[in-house]
Amino acid sequence: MKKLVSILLVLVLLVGTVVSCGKDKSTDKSSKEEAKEEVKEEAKEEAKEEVKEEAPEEKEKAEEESDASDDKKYKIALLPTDMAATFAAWLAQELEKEVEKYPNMEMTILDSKNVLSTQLANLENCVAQGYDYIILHPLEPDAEAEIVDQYVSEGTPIMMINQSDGGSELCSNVDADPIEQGAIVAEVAAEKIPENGKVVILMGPSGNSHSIGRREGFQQYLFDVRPDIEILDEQLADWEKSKGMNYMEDWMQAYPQIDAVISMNDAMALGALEAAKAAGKDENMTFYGVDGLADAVLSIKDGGLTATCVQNARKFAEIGFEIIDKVLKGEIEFEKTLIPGELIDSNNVDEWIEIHKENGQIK
Amino acid sequence: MKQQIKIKGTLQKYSTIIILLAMIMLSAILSSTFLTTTNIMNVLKQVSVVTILSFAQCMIIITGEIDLSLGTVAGMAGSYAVILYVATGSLVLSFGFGMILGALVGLINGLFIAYFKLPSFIVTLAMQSITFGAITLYTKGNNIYRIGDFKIFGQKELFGFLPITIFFIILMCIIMIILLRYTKFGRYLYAVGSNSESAVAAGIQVTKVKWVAFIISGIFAAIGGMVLMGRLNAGIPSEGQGYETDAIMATVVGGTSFSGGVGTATGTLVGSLIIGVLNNIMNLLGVEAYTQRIIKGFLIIIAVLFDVRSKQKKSTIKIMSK
Repeated sequence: MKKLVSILLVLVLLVGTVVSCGKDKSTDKSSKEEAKEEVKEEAKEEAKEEVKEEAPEEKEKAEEESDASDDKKYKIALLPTDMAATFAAWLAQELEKEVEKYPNMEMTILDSKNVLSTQLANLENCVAQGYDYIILHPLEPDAEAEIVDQYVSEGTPIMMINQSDGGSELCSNVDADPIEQGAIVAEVAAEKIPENGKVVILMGPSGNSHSIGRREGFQQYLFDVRPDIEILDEQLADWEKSKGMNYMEDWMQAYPQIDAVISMNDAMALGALEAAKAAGKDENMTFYGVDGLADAVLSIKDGGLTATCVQNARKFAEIGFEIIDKVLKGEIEFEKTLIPGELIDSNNVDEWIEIHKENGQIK
Repeated sequence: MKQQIKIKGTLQKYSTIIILLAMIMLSAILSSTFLTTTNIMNVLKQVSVVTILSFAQCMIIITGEIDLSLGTVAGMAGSYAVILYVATGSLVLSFGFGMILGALVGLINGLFIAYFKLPSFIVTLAMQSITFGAITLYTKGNNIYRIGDFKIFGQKELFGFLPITIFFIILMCIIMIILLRYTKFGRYLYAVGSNSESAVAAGIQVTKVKWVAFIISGIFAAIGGMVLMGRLNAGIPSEGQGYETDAIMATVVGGTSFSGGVGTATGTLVGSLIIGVLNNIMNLLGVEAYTQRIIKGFLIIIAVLFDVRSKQKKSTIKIMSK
């Protein structure tokens, strides 16, 4: 039994090394040689190296690729933050839909799994592999701006999407203004929170630019406009529902009266709502968030959440690809634009339920 | 002389409980709302998931291994159970399915750690990635909402006063106490953890013991995950992440030794409560967010220091009394 296992393992290892060696060779070449020559030569060499049966396949591949290069099909790479995060997944989905409208483009997705070093490695690889355009959904725009500028000046156009450009001067940028997002919800809150109301605030992770920006929006359009409102406490709940819930449970013990929960995203607001519901105190409170994804929309429909502001991923995709098209045609070098946020409350919630049904968030 | 040793002995044995009681008394003085029934219930509700996972972590650390996949297994099994409930409407079926998923992950962990003798740190770290991938592959990054009656696992009140989350803590605690104290398997766990070689010499099947321990750990993680999803009233795979480190913290504060062979279920419960009470009182007092983190970090170090020091004294006393 043990022998068998060890023989199997050795086999696996052998196969593994052979396969990985093969891969290394081809990538080394691709970075050195030019595209067309490389395709032909590689096909020839590999045909020699490998078993005869596989040769026809390789030829077909080479033919396909050379066909593609005749049609000038642009290779576009999307580097999302984290495909396991709801908004990043939705944005990627909308971009995939949008690219189909441009027959001369094809898009590959390389996930960064929420790790900055992975994203930077992906970026480096995409530039080395000669992608024609890179859409970067940056994890840390400020940290990535410099390298992005370097790649753009070396000839690979890049777009930073859904985050600020971090000070990059040469990349395109499609972003939503977090201050505006906060402001949109803050205006509703300013109307609904009663005179001398008492509120608690849930913040995202420390130092997060969107959390800080949204907070600024609330400051300008709620707390500065309504100085009668008292802020009881303000804590970091790291975008997490369970943490929002824990803070709210404690707050309801510490403070006899809470009129509203101001949260920098929906998940934390919904956590606070669960806690308030469990204590039977949710009726006289209002809850405000930002994001406008499926969870928030359903909660608004059920009379839970009061208002939220959505970043419309579809608009990001539409406007993003308009810019990419112009850049690839050589009409412009780059363009920076802001997508306005949209308010969701009980008045237009049905519309948004439909939108999220279409993109598969609500099943 | 004998009496003195006795008093010292009890002091050492209950050092973590003494810390907890001191914290509770101090909290009661600082905040008038702290000792209200609702607030005590809140603390227990808030630590429920961590505590359930801590019991599993405690058992694994006793054997000298570690389980870093607890949090993501909780997220995965909890979310899949929610998905199955939404599809079928059967609470029993979905709860059973969640436990089976947890057991399955434990089985795989055990295969590589106990059978192939790989380091548990690496295997369970890899399992973190595998289990999170296994749930997001299905959900595509979306969460599951409108989970209907599944939320009773986290929000129901039994007999009109006992929140189900607290019931789960008590239940899992009793199971773990029985397992560790009153079964042969429990004694084997300690034997394997304190000296693996002599355990083999004594005729204990170390591989089997560790393997079973990881399966139980997986099941505990799954139950913790289902309680978490019930409490959140949603299936959110990412919410499980990070719970494994909280569980390690609670376990170690509760007096479990990282080198294996030492630890109790009640100690773990106390460790978890120490952290829970600390979070709670800081919120009640309105301590500013950044300060909270610093205080929390220092208090954990102090608690472990106190525990370790008292155990060191214990061993010297043993020698002296001889």
